[in-house]
Amino acid sequence: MTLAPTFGDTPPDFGRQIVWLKVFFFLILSVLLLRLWYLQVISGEEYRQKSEKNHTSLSEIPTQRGLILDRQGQVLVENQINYDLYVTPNEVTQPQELSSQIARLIGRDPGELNKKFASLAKKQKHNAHLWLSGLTRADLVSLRTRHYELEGVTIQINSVRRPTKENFAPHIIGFLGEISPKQLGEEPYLGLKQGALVGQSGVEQSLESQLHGQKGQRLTTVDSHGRILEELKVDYPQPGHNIRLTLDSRLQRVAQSLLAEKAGAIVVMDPRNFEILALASSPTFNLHDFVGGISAERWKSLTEDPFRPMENRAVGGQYPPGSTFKIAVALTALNEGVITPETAFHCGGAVFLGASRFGCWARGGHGTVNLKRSLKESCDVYYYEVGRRLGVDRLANGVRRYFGLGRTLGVDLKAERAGLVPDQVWKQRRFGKPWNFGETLPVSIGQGYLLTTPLQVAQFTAVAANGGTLYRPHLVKEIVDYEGRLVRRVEPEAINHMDLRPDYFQSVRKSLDAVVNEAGGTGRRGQIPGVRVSGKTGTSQVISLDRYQIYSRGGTLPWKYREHAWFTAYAPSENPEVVVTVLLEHAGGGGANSAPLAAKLLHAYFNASVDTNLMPPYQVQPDKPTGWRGEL
Amino acid sequence: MKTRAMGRLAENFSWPLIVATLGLMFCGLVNLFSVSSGPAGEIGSPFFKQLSFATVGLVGLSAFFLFDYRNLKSLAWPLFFLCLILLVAVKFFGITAGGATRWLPLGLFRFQPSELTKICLVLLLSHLFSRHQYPHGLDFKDLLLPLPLIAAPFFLILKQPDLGTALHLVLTVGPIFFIVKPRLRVVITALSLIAALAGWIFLFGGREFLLKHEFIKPYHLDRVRYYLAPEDRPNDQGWQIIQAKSAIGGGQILGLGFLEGTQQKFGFLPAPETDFAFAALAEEWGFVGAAIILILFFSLIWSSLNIVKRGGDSFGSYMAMGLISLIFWQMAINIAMVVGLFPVVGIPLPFISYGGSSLFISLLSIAIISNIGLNRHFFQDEPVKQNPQVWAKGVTAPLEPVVVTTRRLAPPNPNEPEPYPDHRLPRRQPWLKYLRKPGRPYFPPPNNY
Repeated sequence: MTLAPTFGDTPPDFGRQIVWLKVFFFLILSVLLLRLWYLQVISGEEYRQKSEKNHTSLSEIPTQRGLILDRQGQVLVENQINYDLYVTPNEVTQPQELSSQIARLIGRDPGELNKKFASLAKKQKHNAHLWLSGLTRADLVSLRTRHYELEGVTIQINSVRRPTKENFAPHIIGFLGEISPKQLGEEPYLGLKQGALVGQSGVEQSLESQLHGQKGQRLTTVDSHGRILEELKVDYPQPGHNIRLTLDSRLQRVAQSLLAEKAGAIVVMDPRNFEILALASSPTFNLHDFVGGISAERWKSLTEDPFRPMENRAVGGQYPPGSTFKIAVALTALNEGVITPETAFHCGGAVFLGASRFGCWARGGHGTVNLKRSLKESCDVYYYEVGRRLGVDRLANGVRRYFGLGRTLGVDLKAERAGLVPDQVWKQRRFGKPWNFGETLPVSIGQGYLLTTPLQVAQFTAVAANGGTLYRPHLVKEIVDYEGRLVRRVEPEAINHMDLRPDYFQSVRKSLDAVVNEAGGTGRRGQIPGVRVSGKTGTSQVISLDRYQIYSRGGTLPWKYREHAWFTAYAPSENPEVVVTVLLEHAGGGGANSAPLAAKLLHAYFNASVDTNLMPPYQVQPDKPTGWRGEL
Repeated sequence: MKTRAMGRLAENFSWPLIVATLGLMFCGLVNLFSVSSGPAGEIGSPFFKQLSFATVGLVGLSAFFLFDYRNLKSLAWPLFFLCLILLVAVKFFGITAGGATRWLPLGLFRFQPSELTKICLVLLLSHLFSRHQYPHGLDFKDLLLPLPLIAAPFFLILKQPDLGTALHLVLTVGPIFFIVKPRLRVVITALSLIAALAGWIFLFGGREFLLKHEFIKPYHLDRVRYYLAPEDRPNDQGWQIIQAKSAIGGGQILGLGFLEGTQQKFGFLPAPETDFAFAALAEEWGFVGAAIILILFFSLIWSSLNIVKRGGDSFGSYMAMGLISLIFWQMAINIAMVVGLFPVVGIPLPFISYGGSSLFISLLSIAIISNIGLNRHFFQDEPVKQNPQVWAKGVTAPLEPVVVTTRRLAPPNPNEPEPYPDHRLPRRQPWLKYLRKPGRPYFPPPNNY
């Protein structure tokens, strides 16, 4: 029984076709459903954050870096408002035209802009990078009026660091630079982004965590055009702490002036608490070059200068201390009991050890020498004998322990270096050879393998001056927050105390007094009117004695082979309140060259009426030190 | 009498189809309410416009049930030629927007002939295929007429240029060919031709040729490029893709909630009422909401395919196939585009996206499919077996269906008494089968006549 179809049409027989179509449509719908599952369930959190980020904008509120003040509270480094041009390379379609247009608007060299852009374009393309800094107000106006034509370009207001004084203590203050990739993951820099400016030398670097403050944040709702609809949350920025240094601006200025046309360093320290009053290193550089970023060629000239103006010689320069070391040796020997102040040796001008001759600087010899005379006339033979009695290990341990040589004590500068105090273990490790007894003798007069920094020389001078206490030398006096509340006051921290008989100390100090004030003393030029100065000269050789022979015949010694001139002093002799250490590189005799500088500095210290403005200008990088005749 | 006619309508009415349609329209309106209301809560005019479109559309849908879809056969050729004329007219009088001439100005609104062309082409092909039987499948000679008929509107639309619609046209008619059963050699030839075309475009100089003759535009290539790597241009070409993904993904499982979608409220999501409506919906209603939409579409397609399968005549089946394929591909392409599986093309999501013509075309398709479903019992092989309720009394003699049809639908006429009053149909209570308890035998209601 069938019904005939209407209109002559037969019902079609689709067989499997419809099933296949159902499967096909079902598969496509399943793919869509799976994709939705992937987007919404598996990676939903990520996209939720993306869309949150989309309509909320987290903008940073910049903070103010803390100020750096000197001992008296004068501002050394301040913040200055700067207008900077930023560019996002990804948004720029025609960099050539853009840079030429900007160059035309503000009157700069388009080629330079182009070059900078090319280097920026290699970095992350979606981020804004600093293109040009230090725009004037006129530049700002002309760029602002044409802003609609300049795609991918923004102007930001930044504050930059500006030192208040010309060429003043650049090694101590330091400069800012972009954070390096290595620093990004490290402790005080955590949370900073690439391109952040952080201290890269001096106090700016070592006290970064105190100075940088806390950035603020503003969370707002924005629409797709970037219009702010609503402010959700504001964290106000926390300005950085202000740092008050122990530095005395006036003394620092004197010290830097004294080093004009010289290469060397001056350390001025208070022996009662090891506050550093001045720390000069010469030649030096100009911090103003770093305001708003240093140019590449300037940086190159600074780093490639043979006189190394960037090096902080006062804490980072390592030199043989020469005869100044005799203070430390004498105190150590007295402490170890190998000599008393009355112990006397005969100086015949040299001692012989096997085939080697170890000479005194006085070729004829000093005759019978006791402690006082050995320091006053700086007899080498006396200290050869003391060194022989002590042995290198006892000597090394003593100076390390009581004067902090051979290690860094943690003055607030990263440039500080340890120097070198040799002993038997060191020699074995360093050269794989046992210690030769003949090497002990040069070390005991401050030559040989021994290396110290001017700060370390000032340290043992101060220990002698204050009766045996080694404090931690420091540059920071106190840290106050932006509202003036005290955060931290740096108290003197005693590291060690030499428990020596007071009369032994007295005898060493009398001897040092005699160096300056008695006839026959090597440091007579260290005298100043009105105040008794004690001190010790030093002349440290930089090449071996036989090399001297070659040049002494020829007459002139090349500059780099000349002796370093040392003078370390404290004053007043009776009740020391200031230690001065002067090092002049390759300047010759210490008594003749360094002692006058120390005297001038002490004079300025004790006489507030000395007009520092009349002093010569500082040694800045391009100038050459005295004695420079074009050879190295 | 009227109730009897309505009852039979209900018996063969595809309820899932109409429920899914109404559900989708409801979801679309809810979504549009959220999208068109601003962040401050004001309700936008698109919602009210769409509401009126939906009302008008539903009224039209119900009105369409009164027609017999077979009357469309006579309209197939005239409508097709009208479409071709309109497509040519677009070339000369069309409105140009965004570099493409696709619309004809029609007084208050503008009309896109390519949309109408899709339905007309389906109609014509169904008509053509239903006139013959293909016991051995479609052969090459059977394609001689249909292929040029597809190619003509295809190229006209391609030159507008409207690559998306042109491809949609081809995809729409594909399943019709499939259920007519092409022969294996035809399938192999077609597949190798498609492979050769793809190879020519992607490996050899096809792209340059197409670009040169303006079959595709440079921005088509850009769309594909930034579909593959939207992060390269996050602020222009890649914007839509990135923002749509963020919107959908940000919805997570349960969504941000009604009226809470941030991507569309703050203007990040492009075209949230039209092309990217699904993204806005997925953001506010989450995976659950998006899955419900997909399930509604699935039931719509499933029930339509059932109509195709059980539909009485081949014309109706082909027609239903073409129309459901039209809706399916629109949905698949739009959602795939929104979820980032397909380059951006301007094809709206049926029932969900805002737009009167899109809604009308979709509703028209559903109306035709339902109509086909309604009338399928005319053509059943064994109506008594297949419709026990309808034919409960049993028919002992062959029956002229035409007569039955007339009898069923015609009111009692005293001038024309019934020839076989004994064979009058029982009073029908089709819902009873839903009410009966499982396990208990079902006794058909007694014959009141």
